[in-house]
Amino acid sequence: MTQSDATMTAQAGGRRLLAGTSAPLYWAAVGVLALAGMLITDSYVQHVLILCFLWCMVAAAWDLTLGYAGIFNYAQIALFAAGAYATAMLTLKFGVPPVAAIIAATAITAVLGLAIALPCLRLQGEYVALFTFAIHLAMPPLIQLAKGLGTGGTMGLMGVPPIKFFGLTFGPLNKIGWYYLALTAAAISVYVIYYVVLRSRTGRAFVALRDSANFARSLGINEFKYKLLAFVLSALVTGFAGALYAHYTSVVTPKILGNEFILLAIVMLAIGGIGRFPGAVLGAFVVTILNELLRDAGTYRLLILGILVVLTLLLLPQGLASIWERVSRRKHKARTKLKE
Amino acid sequence: MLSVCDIDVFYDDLHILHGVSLEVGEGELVGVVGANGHGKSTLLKAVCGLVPVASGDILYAGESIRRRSVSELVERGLVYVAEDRRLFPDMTVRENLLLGAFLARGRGHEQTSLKRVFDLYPRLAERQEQLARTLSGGEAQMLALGRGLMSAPALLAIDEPSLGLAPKLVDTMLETIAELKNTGTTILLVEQSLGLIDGIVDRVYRLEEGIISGGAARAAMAMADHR
Amino acid sequence: MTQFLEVIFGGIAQAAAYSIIAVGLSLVYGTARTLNFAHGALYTTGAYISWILTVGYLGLPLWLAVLVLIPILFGIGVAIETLMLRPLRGGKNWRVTAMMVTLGLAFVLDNANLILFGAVAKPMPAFIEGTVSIFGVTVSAYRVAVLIIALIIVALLEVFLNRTRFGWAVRAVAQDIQGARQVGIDVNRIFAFTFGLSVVLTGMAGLLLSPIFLISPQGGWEPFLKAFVIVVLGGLGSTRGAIAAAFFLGMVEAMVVYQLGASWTMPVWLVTLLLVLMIRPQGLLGKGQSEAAG
Repeated sequence: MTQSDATMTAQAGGRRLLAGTSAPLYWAAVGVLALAGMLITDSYVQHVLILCFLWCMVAAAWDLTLGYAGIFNYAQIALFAAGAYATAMLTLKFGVPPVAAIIAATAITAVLGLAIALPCLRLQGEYVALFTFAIHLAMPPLIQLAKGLGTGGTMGLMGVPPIKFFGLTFGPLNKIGWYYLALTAAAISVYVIYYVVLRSRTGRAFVALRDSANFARSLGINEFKYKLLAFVLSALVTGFAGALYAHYTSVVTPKILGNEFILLAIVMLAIGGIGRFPGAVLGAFVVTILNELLRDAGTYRLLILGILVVLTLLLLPQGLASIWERVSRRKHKARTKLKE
Repeated sequence: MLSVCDIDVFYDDLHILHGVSLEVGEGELVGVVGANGHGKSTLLKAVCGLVPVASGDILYAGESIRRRSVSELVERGLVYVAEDRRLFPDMTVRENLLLGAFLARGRGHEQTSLKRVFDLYPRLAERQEQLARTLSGGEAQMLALGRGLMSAPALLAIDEPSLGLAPKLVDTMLETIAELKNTGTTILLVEQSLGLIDGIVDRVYRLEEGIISGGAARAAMAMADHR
Repeated sequence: MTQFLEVIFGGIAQAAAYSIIAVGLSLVYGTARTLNFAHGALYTTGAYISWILTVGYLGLPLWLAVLVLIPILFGIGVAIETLMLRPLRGGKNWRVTAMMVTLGLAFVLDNANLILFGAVAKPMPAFIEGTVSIFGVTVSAYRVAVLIIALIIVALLEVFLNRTRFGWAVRAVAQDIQGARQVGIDVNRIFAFTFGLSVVLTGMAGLLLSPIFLISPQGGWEPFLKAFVIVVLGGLGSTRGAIAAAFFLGMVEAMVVYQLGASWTMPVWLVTLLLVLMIRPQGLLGKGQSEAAG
């Protein structure tokens, strides 16, 4: 690839990155969800939306590494589980208050992310995928082996205590409290990832590295540093989501590492579109709701989700985001025509 | 023998070739010169079916070949020799050559082609059992060209054979290319500077930023160059 | 001491079967530059199909079952490559999407197998009963048979790759895709063929190992990971390297299981993977990547 090619693709990447959605529109959408929270009284609907918000964090964080930084990271659910287990073990075994435990769990997951990223980023392409996925596969037996440390083994940990602060208690039944807590956490996480980090110099460096690593290197962009940063930040958000999830459901078991969660996360990115905001976030909503609708399908649910991954990747390779982009491009064209 | 008619080629969103046309007659040695990154390799690859052509047409022996696969083109004697060699590094020199005769067209002449290549480049005969990755730059270029010859080409498209070679080797390389022409192979040759190939080509085109010009006999071209 | 030798021999026999899985993975990875996450699920699927053909439903004799099994597996592989991977190739981010598709396929197969055959592992009788005594060490005849069959399969593959024209074309594609296209090799056909062959290999390993491990819907992930470690250690595209690496790692596994217990198997393989990748961090794909991009 010549230099001019690389500049063009890097610029195109930048444009695509910035096109997405404007910040006011984003906060308006968050505002609508906040208002909706007052109107929704059905606790099941509230529950599904809470799950949507938590999954938004997981999908957005994964999109940061896999979609934008171009790291073939498949340890996403392993990191989510790490956040959940960390907070559960801290509260149940060491009696740490929930808020402090969540902060500690988030930090622990970030450090774990660093520990995974350091060896990982010396590897190339598919080796990263394999290594990170091996970590995912090795976690359940490790949890079993570390039963003595309070992981709960195959049974998992029950009775993770509810979060308490400012005199409020976020128990499993306080759906409205959880609705706003999860919405706030997700809104801030998603904003930080897509609007702060990815639109800064750092974010442009990610895209330049993904689209043409050689050119980015020739500009003096330190690949290792930026990828490390992306990985750690992604792990941090994921760990936070995992910790919140543990307190919300009050149960943490190795089931998190089973087929379902990783499959859900993959479908979210596949359906939403990888590396194309707001693809992953939309994907998180669509798939979480779909997964709930499929509850009655029983054992067929996971099969359907798997088929969905394959079909969307083949039929709609850029995901929902491509439809979104087509619409906004048409709008943009119409606008420029009007100006003329 | 070959007519490229007004072709456009894109690489992703980049417009590389703009309405390029050229003619190569039977038995001719036609040159295309131009600076790096102006689309010379893309032109040869488009002719040989290695990159898709967006618009325009390519006629070979009077027939459109725009939508033909590379295998079909090689089977009909249209063979590309890459600037970056594209050898099979973990195979021996001999295996590399025999793979040049992979299709029926080349296989039919396998033994005579092999003899021809070894006559042209005795060095390759000496190094038959050596792995391609152990060859020097000059030897690798010989092997690339030799592998092309094994396909029994009617038209050989050679991409910057001088790349990375010492000046003395460049001369020998170009001499052998002229020799190939004399034995009846039609050749489309790409180089960076006219000076290198001026002595051996029949006609020269110039490719600048994806736009082609020239194509007259080489004396006229040289004069235009001096003006 | 004899008990220890028995454990070691058992490890070697299993490792030989792993090396078949590994060679299959490496063929596809080496030619089409695709890491097939469904390779393990296809191993399981191969085992289930042979279960249906033999003890499960049809009761075919083993030789006939194998003859039926091979074309089925080959067809599955060709279908996956042409229908699911070829359309993605060359598109934006195709390496990520190709990996996601194979991962999606792995879950489809796992869950389809779960629905069709249930969560309870299916037993498969050993095709050869009894024991053999080698230098005073008693080993099951079946394990000896597995070792011999695996070695024969790898030898056949070696002959195919080095002595046949088509095998040369496979090696050529693995070494330089554009170079292969230039000499007129139909690269897509090679991709489809190698994928078919790779599914045959992993499915055959599924058949060979099922009497030892039983067949369960998610049982393919462990052999998949092990196969990858073998590929990385043995060298991409090197069948002999795969055999050597498999024997070495098989012995390590056997010793670990003997000393620490079976629950340490996966952690030990993970550590081995880490160590191997640290020794060869450049990845064997260094070459393949620039080609895929160019």
